[in-house]
Amino acid sequence: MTERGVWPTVRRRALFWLPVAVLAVLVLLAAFPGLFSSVDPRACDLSASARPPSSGHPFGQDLQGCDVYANVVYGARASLSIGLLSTLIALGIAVVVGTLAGYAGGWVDSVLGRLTDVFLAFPFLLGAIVVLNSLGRQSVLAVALVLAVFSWPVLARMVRTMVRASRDAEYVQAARAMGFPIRRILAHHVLPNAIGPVLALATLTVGGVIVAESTLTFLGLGLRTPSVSWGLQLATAQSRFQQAPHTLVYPGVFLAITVLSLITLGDVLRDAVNPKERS
Amino acid sequence: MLRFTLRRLAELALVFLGVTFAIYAAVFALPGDPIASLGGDRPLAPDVAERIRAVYHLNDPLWSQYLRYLGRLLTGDLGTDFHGRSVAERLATRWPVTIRLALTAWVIQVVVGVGLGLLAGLRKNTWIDRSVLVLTILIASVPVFVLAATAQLVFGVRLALLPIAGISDGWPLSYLLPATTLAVYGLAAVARLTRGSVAETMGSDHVRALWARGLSRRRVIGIHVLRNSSIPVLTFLAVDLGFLLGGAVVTEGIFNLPGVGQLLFQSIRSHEGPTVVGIATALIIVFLLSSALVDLLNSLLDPRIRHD
Amino acid sequence: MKRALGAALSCLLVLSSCAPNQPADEPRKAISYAVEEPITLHPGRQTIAFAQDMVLFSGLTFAGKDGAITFRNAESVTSTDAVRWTIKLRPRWTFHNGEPVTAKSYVKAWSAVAYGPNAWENSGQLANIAGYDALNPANGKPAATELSGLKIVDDLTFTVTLKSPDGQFPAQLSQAQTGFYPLPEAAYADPAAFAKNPIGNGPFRMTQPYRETEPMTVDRYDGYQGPQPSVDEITFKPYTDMNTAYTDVQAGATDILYVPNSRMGQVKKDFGDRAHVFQGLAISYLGLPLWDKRYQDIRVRQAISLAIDREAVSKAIFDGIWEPATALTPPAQPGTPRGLCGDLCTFDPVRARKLLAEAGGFSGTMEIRFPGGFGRDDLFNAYANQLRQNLGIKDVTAKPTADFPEFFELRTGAKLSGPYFARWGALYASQQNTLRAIYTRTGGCSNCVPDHDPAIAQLIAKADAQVDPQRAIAGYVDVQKAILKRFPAPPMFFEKNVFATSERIASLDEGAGLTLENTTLVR
Repeated sequence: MTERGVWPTVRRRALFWLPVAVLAVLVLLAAFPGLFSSVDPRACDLSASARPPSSGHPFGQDLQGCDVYANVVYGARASLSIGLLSTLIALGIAVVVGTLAGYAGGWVDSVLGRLTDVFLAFPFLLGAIVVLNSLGRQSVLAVALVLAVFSWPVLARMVRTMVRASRDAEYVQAARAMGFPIRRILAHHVLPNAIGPVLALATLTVGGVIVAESTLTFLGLGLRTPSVSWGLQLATAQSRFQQAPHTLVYPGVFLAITVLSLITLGDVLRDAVNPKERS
Repeated sequence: MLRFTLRRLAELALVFLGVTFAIYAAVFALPGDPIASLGGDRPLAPDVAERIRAVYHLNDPLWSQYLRYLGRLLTGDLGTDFHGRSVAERLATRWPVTIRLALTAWVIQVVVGVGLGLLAGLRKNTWIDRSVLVLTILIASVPVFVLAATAQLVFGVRLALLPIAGISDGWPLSYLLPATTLAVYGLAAVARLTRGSVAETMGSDHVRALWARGLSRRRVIGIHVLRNSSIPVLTFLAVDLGFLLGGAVVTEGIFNLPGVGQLLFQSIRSHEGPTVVGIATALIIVFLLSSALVDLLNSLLDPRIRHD
Repeated sequence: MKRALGAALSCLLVLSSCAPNQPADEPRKAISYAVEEPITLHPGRQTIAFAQDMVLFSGLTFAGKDGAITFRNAESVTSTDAVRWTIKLRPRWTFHNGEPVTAKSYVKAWSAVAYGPNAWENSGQLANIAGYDALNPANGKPAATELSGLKIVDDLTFTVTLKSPDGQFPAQLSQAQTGFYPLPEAAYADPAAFAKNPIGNGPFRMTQPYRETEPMTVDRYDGYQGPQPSVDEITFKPYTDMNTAYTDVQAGATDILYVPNSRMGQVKKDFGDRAHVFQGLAISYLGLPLWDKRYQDIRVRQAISLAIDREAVSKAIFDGIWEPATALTPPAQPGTPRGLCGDLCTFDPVRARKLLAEAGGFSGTMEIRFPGGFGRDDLFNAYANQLRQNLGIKDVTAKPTADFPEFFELRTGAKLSGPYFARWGALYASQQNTLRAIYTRTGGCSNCVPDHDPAIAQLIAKADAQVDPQRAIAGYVDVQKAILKRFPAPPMFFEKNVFATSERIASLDEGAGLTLENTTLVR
């Protein structure tokens, strides 16, 4: 459990540096898109509709004749923000609700458990329409919030189950017997052992959320032009992807690389932190 | 056990009231007039619309509409939609479709997901492990509407192997493509969770001791590793089954399966409160049951978990 | 009776032997057609079951290709003053249950459709018949139950008195105005059951009641007195997503499909000569919020029209299938003055910017709204790009509403602040239908631009009063000229009806829309 041991372990691993490098580039893309593309993603030439990659348009042009590369570059900000923001919000709620329910048990567990069930059973589509309408605008923040509201229950159930499973382990009982305060027991003994599957699910949630954003747009609820996002690109590409696969493939590949990097990084860090697995 | 069941039932009743009201209110809050657009893009004459509105008490306040709905519900009447079709009848024809689809997709997830996860977990950090990761993530990075349309083109049009729309070929033929499409999205999660748990359990003192005692590989993995790794996987699979039963809106739509997801989508679009509430009520029961079941299974699998 | 029963039984046992008047070795000609869930088949109520009702029933008149009106169940529909119409029916017509089709079948049906408390969706089609208002009082129950403007003369003759003169009445009686269909006695006892198992007077009859989500098969009706259909059996297959139906026709599982907008860009490549492009009765406008100050200067509205390259939009989004609009009504309506819009409906970005500058420019953002989930996203995104780039307005967005109800509320409540979806699909082939719907207050196009000038209404009424078709057309052209001077909103496209067929289908019959029963199969 020593944090000091993590850095020496990971810094020699190629599998650590690869995702770090990729994510660093992505963050740069999101922060300074202008560095990577001098083309305006919204400068569109309808007469060049759905043209495949050509000089000046390395990824080709979409149905409206806009540059796909510029849209991928400028779309990184919205997509990464939505993916990370809503996962963080969801994870935050899930850890609090799940830990409380799992550790306290009894009526606390009942109330929080049923609350989770309610959110699970509430039709996502209906919730999305109502929330997005009451917020008035389909902004990045609004979409991230909607997606977070509907992704925390799964994570919360996972946290709860894992906390329950480790609550009565010998080392936790020992810690309790030694009179450690609850906060310390939770932070140092219960959560570290419960967090593995939760993090695995959370890293996947980032990708899931970015894809879900495109489904929202597909259903007519998500981001809209003039916003630029990968999800938006995926959703608008679908009507013509047989004729113009390039409009779909490039944002899709960027999305996949993002998720893969996050998962790999998560794995490496977890291996380094987890006492049972360090060999 | 009886107390456990009774308590869950009491909780169910409370949750039921809360959720039905929340959903009724949400549908009520949807912007726009559902009646004017009954005729699609050719709107109804205003006086005709007004007459239909009166038939369904749509000018009444929310609480009065909800109470009327609850009252009818107590007599077992789920109400009708704006075309006078019985909600109960519509649900009865659609649930079987969704249940078949959900279970098929779920079984695919269990078999393939756990299988891949086991493979990856036992061969941790090898090329097998990495290919499983890349494969499951790549597929899940494609939005469902694209994957579904591609599957239809490849298997339905080019190869002409499988039906792509409707249920006229029955189970399993009509359900294979949609269920597989649907399963792909939970696959990555199931595989990752299984892999993580298996890898962790394999490295645990408990399993090392079993190896040391010279137990056969099959026995150690089959009984001890799987059993001890199953808690997070089971937790996820239970929630996932609930989601699948909730009706895959996009998948059912694209494969033209007349299930609950499709109905939910249409009902929300046309602001049919009673239908939406009817579907959501059944879903709540599914989720309550699934969370109870997971607790029960987990405590059976891991005796350390107390049952309270 | 016994014999009929026996025939029916053998029919049930050996399906193929049901086909009448046919050599045993010739296979039954069966086709399938992709439809939306019809919900109800009652002609007084349906709003999406046109294809089904048009083969189960026959109207008094029939609109063919180019809108030419011929008589179908009627032998003649005549008037000297366009107010009092005499309708003579053809003899020997029967409903599928053998009941004769008489003047009463029409008169009773029309009264029922118009009767307010029934709240049947198609009652608006009969609004110009004398006595309609008495059946639809503002409050309370109507005193009358019958339309006072209808009189039965004899078994096969009845007269209709209209509220105002209307020379287009025969066109209004054509096949898509299902509110004018006759009903058999069996329709009144249990309208709900009738809606699932209608008994019509058309070339096909139900084989079993319609059930939601299930395909529905109709069968050739032997006793039909009209033109004989070229197929024996039609199966209507319901789809929730017409894109799926499109792929299903590609796979050969379904024969005929009305191609949705979202697939129009690829239909020619996917289907080649199995893609059929027909004239449509729908016209698309770009609606403008006349209640917003920024759009009240006619030069702004003209600039918007000039700033959109209709050719390029159609080419990119619809593979050039939609035709840039050059008049205010679709060309399938007889006498539509193609080219009347002139320069104002062409692409001229230089003039557009000049006009906008003269009008004082444009301040703020321009938010285009359209109903979501309707396959028009690409079209409206293209409009937005065109207006942004060609007018130099910085912030132009295209944003869908959640659904139609929301769109209608925003539009009718004048809560839109930018251009919007405006379209009218006419039900009968007369300029009257489109002009009346869009430019009169009670016209019914509640997604259209609310420009309801009394002078225009008068001009329309003047054209309506003409009995002579040519003079009526001249009247409607005058209406269009007067409207174009006001230029409330730019007409954008003459929409097309595009059908895709499986390899089994040899030809489709255009008609007004599609005359499904005249489809021929590959031998």
